[in-house]
Amino acid sequence: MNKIFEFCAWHSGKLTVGALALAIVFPFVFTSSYVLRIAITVLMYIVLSLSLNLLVGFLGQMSMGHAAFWGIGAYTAAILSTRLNLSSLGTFLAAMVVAGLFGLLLGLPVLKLKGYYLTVVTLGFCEIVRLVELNWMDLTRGSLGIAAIPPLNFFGQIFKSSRSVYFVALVLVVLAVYVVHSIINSRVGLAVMSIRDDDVAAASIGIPVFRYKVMVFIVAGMLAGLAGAFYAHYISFIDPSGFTTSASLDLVILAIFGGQGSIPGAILGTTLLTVLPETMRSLMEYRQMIYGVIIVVMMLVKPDGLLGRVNFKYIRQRLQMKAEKEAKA
Amino acid sequence: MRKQKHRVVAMILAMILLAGCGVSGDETTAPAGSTGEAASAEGTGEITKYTLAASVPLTGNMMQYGTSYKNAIEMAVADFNAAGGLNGQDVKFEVYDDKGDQKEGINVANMIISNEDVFAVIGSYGSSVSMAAAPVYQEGAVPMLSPNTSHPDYPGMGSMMVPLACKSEVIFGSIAEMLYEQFGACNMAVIYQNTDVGITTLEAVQERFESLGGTICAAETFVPNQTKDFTPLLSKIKGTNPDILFIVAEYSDGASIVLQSKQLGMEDVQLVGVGNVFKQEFLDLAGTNADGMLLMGIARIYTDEVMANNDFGEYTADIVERYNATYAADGGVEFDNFAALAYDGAMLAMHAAAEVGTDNPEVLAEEIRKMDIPLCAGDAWFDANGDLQREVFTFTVENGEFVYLPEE
Amino acid sequence: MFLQQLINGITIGSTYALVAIGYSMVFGVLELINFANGSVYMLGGYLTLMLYTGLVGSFGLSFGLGLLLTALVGYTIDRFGLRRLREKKVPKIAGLITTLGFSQIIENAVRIFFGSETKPYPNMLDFGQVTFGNVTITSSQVIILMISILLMLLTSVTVYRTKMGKAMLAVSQSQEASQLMGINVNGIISLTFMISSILAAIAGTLVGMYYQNIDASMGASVGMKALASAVLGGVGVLPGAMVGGVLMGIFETLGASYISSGYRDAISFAILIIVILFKPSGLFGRKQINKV
Repeated sequence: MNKIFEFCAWHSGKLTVGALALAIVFPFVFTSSYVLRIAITVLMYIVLSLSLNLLVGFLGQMSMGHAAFWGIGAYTAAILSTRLNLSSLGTFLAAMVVAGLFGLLLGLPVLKLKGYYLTVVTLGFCEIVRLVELNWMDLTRGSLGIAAIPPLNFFGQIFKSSRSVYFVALVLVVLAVYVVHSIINSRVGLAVMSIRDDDVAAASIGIPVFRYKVMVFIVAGMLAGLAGAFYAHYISFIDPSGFTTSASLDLVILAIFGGQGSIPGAILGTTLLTVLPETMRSLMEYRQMIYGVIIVVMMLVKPDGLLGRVNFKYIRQRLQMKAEKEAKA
Repeated sequence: MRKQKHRVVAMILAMILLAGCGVSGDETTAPAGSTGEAASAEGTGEITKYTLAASVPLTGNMMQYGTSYKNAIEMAVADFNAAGGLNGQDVKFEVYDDKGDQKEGINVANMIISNEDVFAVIGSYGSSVSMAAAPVYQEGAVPMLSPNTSHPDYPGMGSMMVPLACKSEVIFGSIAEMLYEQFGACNMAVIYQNTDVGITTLEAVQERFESLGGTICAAETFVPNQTKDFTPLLSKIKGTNPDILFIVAEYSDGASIVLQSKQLGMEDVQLVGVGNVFKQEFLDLAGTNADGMLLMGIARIYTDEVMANNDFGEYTADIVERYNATYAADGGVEFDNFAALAYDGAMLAMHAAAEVGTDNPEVLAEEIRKMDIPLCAGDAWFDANGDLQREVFTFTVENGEFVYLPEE
Repeated sequence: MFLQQLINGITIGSTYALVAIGYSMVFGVLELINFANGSVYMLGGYLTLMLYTGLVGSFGLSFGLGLLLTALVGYTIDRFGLRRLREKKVPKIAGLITTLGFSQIIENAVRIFFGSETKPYPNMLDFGQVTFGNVTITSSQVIILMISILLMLLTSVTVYRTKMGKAMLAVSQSQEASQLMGINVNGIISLTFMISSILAAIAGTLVGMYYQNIDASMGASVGMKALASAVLGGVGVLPGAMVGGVLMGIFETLGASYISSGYRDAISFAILIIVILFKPSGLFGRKQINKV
């Protein structure tokens, strides 16, 4: 296992490029729309999982209402595109702004809450958002949902076929990875992680805990909103049933399964957890139960998630130091 | 270093986007007769596909309904094959679990349309999933029969859509009229589930009943599966002195509402129920509390008592008996309207395929819409507006049993 | 009508309270939210029903057996799911995920093996009702409230007065110190799980009898509300969980009747959020001192 990690860490740059190349080539090799659509779903969930990972894995805030931001993004995009005929670029940006605002709205008051009090408030937030979606008929059409959402439309080009939608999703994933990666590997990221480990200590050495916490909430919200907007255009019909607290809890599982605070982990974990149930279709009604078993077993075997404690940067530094030492000797 | 990285990422993004733009993609979907091409007006009558697919919830909250669908379609396929099948060859039945979830429904839909042997699909349970999956089936040119989707926008999703349930506005207007004729211009309170069915039913009933001179004195909603306690709503309703309590709910919530209304002392209020309460399970839960309740809708009831005392025709009676013998033996759910609609859907698809062949989905869908085969769920036809119309049935409950009230 | 709604609310609330006490106890001892508690609540109700209709004829015996089996399930969750996590010293969220996994397993297992239709439930508590003017109180309502209070008192006495309870308190303060004192930490934790499962099972059975039906999805929504109740009252404080539960029930009922039935649950959650914002450790929670 360690050898594999060392290999990955040492060649991480080349591997990333390689993975990206594979991802680009993927839809040309697998042309079945079924496979492509699963891939698109995986990509969307990766964006969601990364955004939640930012909040739960890096900042350490156990926010269990993330589906609310997803839903807000989706509804914003749906309403704007069906009523105002806004192009997708517009709906994406709008969705991000609105979801980010809600991230601010949620983040501000919960900042002084500890642990599980935060959890319950975020659960409540998710439930309230969903009930508003369900009851505010004039805005959202409630349980009738919003249908006939136009497909993705950038600069006049319509992205309708599975392959083109896949590429848009891929762009979103690259964007999300870039954003999260930049945050993590910056001074802000280190500060955020120190807040996770002990926020009082962090504050005592001058880290603006408040500001950073709010920032992470907003960014996480924005990314989830982006995924939501994409979802709306992709699925063309949304209603409140997809954005429940259960969905939020599923997102938490997705985010943590791959590894807390690990970007490759999030990608790997999300891919596995989304693809696995598809392959288990033959199990019919036992499928869901077995999904639960997998979760439990995973936590027993690797509670940090698949790549939880694996910090590729440190491994590479260690290897580099070793190489330098050997070069000197 | 930083600037380089930024530029690299920007380049990558641009590259991907270009790749996406340039390739408008030709992924493989069901090749035969894509709706985009100009399909010939007549099918050649050739039968090249032999699989009937179904997308139903086999896990999750809606599992019980999905199982009924699956069993009914299974039986229909077996019956059809026993009678000769499609030009002598057996129809294959493939069922997929969509968990009652939209994204799953879409995944399943994509799986189904990439299967070149599928000529029609039955699914799903519930508007959420059906509406989400509809565009996929439309694109993939696979006729989709949906047994109980009454969402008003569903038929408009395309020529492949064949609803087997009526839009609420189509039938509930006449039901409101029937109530008016029976009870006059009185106070009606509506308690409805916050779903597309509930909302559209309320609108239809309210509009017609009020235009005739009646009054809707209260309209309270609830989120299904979220609570068992309707006493706050019922107390509120009781305060408005209703003569009729119109219930739009699933059988479990409906039974709770009936029970709790009695507990609150609303004995003199006429209970009216629609649609999904037409099941034996409703009586199991409500018992004699539902006595005197009027049940009106496009669903028929097939309990032993009702079947024994009424003649819905040999065709229906035979199906009910064999279904119960096979699937309801040890605690399974008995034949109900969900099963009936699924059975009809399967038969419609298979008979139409036998009639006009499977190579032209448009023609196949048209043939299905003609609905000129015997139906066990009651008469159904598409009217001049293209809306589905069905027979309306009235039942009541006496001594804890369903009783059919044929139209005089 | 207000009084009637109040009584309805108190009854619903007492059932939330029982499940909330379970959440509070487990949290107190483990600092973990047991998301499987809702499913255990549902399972308890189902087991009693299935035993009563299927195997054993006497309700009392079925009830007892049901409780035993549910306690066993609670023990299993701890022993096979969570104990290893404690030994490995992992972040709290892993335990949370494990309980989420278990709740999936339990809920789906019940659907598969008992069927997903809503089942009728016999009401063993029906001894009639009394009416004062506009207000009707049924015997079931009175019994449920009494049982909830009784159980709350019983658990409180156990936790705050008995030796075993003191051990629980010790474990909740520091597992390591308790071990040094010779307390069987794992045993205490398992016991806590079993007690919380039994409470949840009792609640599930009571609710089944009160509404006269039961279905596999009732665990999810009640679990959420009971969790909210526990937090409202102050996590770790048992009487707080009881008060929190009853309050949530009242908010929900009054909200549904006077504000809007559609926004019913939103109202109770909104009130919860407002309370928490003003009193971050819940109504009766102790302010936690953060040591660095």
